[in-house]
Amino acid sequence: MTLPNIVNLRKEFDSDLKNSNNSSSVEALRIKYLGRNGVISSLMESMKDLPNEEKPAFGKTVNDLKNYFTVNYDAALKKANSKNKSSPPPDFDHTLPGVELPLGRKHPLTIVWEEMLDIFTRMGFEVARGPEVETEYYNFSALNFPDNHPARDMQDTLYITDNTMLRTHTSPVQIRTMLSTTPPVRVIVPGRVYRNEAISARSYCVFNQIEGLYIDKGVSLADLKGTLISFAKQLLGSSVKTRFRASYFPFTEPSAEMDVSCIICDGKGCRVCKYTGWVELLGSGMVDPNVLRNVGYDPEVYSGFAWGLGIERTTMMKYGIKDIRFFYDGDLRILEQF
Amino acid sequence: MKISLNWLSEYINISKSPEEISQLLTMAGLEVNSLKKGNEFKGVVVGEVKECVKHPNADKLSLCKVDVGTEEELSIVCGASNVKAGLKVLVATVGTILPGNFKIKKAKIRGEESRGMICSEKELQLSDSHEGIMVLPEESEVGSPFSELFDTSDTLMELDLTPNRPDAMSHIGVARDLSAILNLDLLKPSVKLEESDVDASSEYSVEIEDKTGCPRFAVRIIKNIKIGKSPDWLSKRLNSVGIRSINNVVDASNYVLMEFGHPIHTFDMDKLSGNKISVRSSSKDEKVVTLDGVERKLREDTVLVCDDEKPVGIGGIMGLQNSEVTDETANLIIECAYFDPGKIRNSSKILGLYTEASKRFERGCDPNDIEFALDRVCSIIVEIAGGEVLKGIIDNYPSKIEKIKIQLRQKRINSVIGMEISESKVKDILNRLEFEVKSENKESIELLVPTFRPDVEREIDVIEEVARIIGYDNIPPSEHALIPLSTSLNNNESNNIKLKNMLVGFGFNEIYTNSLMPYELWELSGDNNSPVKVTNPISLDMECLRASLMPRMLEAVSYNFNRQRNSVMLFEDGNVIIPDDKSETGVKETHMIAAMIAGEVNPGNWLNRSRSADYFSLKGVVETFLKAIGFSTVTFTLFSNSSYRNAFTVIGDEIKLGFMGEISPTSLKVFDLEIAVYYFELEVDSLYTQMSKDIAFSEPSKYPSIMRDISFIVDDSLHSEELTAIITGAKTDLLKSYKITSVYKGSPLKDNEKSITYHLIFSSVERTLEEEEIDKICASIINVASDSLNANLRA
Repeated sequence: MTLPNIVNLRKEFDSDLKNSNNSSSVEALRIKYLGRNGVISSLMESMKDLPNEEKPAFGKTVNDLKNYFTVNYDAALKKANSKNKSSPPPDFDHTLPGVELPLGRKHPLTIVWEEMLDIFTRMGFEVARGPEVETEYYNFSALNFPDNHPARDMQDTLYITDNTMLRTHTSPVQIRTMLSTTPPVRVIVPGRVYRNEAISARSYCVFNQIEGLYIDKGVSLADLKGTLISFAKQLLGSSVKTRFRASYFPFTEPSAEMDVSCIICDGKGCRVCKYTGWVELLGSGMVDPNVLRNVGYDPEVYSGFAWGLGIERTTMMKYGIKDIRFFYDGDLRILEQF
Repeated sequence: MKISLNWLSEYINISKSPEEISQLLTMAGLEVNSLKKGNEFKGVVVGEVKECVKHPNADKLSLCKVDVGTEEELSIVCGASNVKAGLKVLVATVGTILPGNFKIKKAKIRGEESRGMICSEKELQLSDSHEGIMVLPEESEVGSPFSELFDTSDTLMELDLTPNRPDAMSHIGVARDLSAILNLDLLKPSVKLEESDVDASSEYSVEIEDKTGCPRFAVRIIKNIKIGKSPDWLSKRLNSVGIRSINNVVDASNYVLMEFGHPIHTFDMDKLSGNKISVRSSSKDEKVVTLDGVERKLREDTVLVCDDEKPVGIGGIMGLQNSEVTDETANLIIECAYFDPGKIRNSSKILGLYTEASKRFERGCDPNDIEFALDRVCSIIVEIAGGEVLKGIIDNYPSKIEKIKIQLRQKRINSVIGMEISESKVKDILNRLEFEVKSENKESIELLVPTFRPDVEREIDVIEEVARIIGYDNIPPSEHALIPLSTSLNNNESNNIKLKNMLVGFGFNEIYTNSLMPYELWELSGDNNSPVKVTNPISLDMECLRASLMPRMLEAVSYNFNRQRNSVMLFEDGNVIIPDDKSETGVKETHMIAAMIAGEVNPGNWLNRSRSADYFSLKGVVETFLKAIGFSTVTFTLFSNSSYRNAFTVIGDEIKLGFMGEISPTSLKVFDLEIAVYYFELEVDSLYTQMSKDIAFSEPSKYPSIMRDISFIVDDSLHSEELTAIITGAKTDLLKSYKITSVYKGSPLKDNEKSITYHLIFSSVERTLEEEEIDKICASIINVASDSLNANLRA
């Protein structure tokens, strides 16, 4: 093999390279010059027939040629590939929609509950759950409802027998929890509750509550405020304003309702807040000493607070939903918005 | 409770705006629900209906000629059923603007001219009553403007009171709270009553038989009064809180009721027989006619006020017609009593009769303010109706209800409220609320609680009084350190979230449904027990408690199909409830998670055809769900249930988890559904147990696996699980997994044959496998299959 031969090979490669403008011609170029039976391989093969003194020079020449081929081949391949990407075949319609995967969603009430669970879990609360059918004792008596309290009326409560009923609030779980543990107690209780109410846009005979209870030594009204203000700000945003109004519940004393500034109008006054700028978020209070005594806690040693709120109401407030029945229709057109 | 701010200002000098007052009361627990400012209603005048005939073109309308003091009578079309000639009414003349920017214009109504509107109480914001037009007393002067009849400079507050505050059901009661909040004096009216020389007790006596129902009963007697129209100041006051003026005597007792909160009843003395009033319990089925003209049958145990012969009043609730004060009444017996709250509540509930009096007695009136209330009402009656008051109160009060004593510890106040409150501040507040300090020492005060506060019984109740008057908003919130009590917080709850996340990931939408249902729906549960029922259901549609999540979910599927959806995948998580004699509540509640698939599971698109749900879609979801939860084997055993076409018990790692199946055609028919619907329901607690198990980790093999496909030809009645059992039962630990890749029937197979193809994967964590050893295993599987199932290898 002589040097002019090498020069010719180079020329031949250059002309082939010129015509290699797509991936298949570039591949053909590789096979012809760099492949297993290609030009470089046969040159290397022919080297073994040379006299030993000529071998180094020849080897170097072939190596240079191989480098030349490789560098130019790589460049041509890159070029061809990039061309490939920028121009797909004309019949490829990338504007057709992709193949959808099934997509389910959680119910808005679950979304809000999970948010609350998250907030209270971070504050160190555990979850307790209890039965939906309750006895008179847990639903009323242990919670300090006097025997003739109006809430015990058939008008408000759905009875199963004379002394069992569908719980009217999640508060019986307070009693069940306190009876089964010793202080300190820190629980939240979610669950279904029932009222003897006709179904309308504003009320439903079934709804979900979340109840909270915190019992320890030296817990005060100031702690109640601190905890619940923090909750409201985490749930509704740190700019939300709160206020506590005196109120009445049989199982707390003192009792307070917590209002938050209306999130629809930002407290300026609108239809939702009846132009007061405030909407009620929850009922709360210091656990009544009678309730503590009923579960065997000494009210001189332990004190605590409890609160309860309706998840439906809060969800309606959060998303501006006006009809509570939406939650129970199972209408996918509504559920798919969450 | 309606409170007039003008009236309120008789008892306290406040210089605050109505908005500020309403805010203060709301924060202290007397929630102000609405504030209505007075409206002059310019253009509204008194009119007299001179003529009233039927509208020629409308059944329900009348044509009226109304005299409003102008030269010409106005023709007005009126739609109220109570309009008739001779009535004095309020007319909004043309040009008047009523609330809601409703301008009265000259109009033609069904072809007849109408020049004004005869108003109802609601239209003039006097009450919520919209039952016809408002009728004025006959004496009302035609042409006088609205502002002469009603106090238009007033503001009306509507209070939503909690049931523990009967003391706030009066103007003085509300003023008392304000006096404590603002530290201002409460100005109680003073009463000077001139009595005649005749002793009342010489004429009459009071006897109490039912001492529990009526602990105290007192009367005064006034003679020679003259019934007539109330003076303007009185009727205006009553009008301002939505009470209609009737006559001077009735108005006076209503006035004291609204002022002071203690109900008072007046009898026409001459209609009572004998000279003794007795208070007793009713006997069963006794009949009386109340003031509203309704005959009522009583049960036992209703408190009755009687003369010598007959009942004359239902104690604490309503008087009877037979002793009513009328225009002819000359002599009065005025009753002021204290009735037992529980008894009044029961009677009122049984009778379905809730009155201004019963509302107060059932919450608890003050048994010890009776003298004052009687003197107050008598002094007003004498002032406006004349007459003489006989000397003394005839008072039967066998055992006096004493003020209760409470020890209040300063330290305790501070620890409950969480801030330091000075002793003098505490005393100021309690003093304004009319608590008496009986004695005190370094640590505590002994208090006497006024008997108008039945809600205050204990130290904690007094602390609440202090806190609410100070205002909860003035208590600084603590930054109490909240430190987790437990390191394993809410495992089940986070597992619950995971379960829902999985189903959402599979494409299911979560629903919440009503857990109460009619019996016809409950029946679809396929439960063998009888339903748990509500004894006082809202309606029969909500009588039974759910024994399964299926019926309501099927209803939701139908709801969506009726709204043009053709692919519905739903799930719900909740309790099902069945009877259980052994439990303390008589029922057993089980937490379930359930899902339903109906219509297309893979909705069609331009690339793929749609696929409708079938048994294998359901089975696939259940298998995948349980695998994700951590069960290694899931099996299904057939059982029969009328609500399902095919029902299967779902078993995961040998634990019964629930069931699944295809809904039966009869169940579908209830909702007129004509598609196949699949359902599963699993016990959540069993799933939690599995989820809380530790994961047994094993390293994947470094060596390549070997795969084999084997096709068997078997009898087409053979269930694949028999063949699978042979494969999984092969004596080797090298078989890592298998799956069925095809099931085929048809040519070239015989009619009663099918082929089942398995794809087997072998591997070892220790070494590279030899082809020969795998061939051996496969051969032995094939041999066993051939021997025991007559399965042949497909060429």
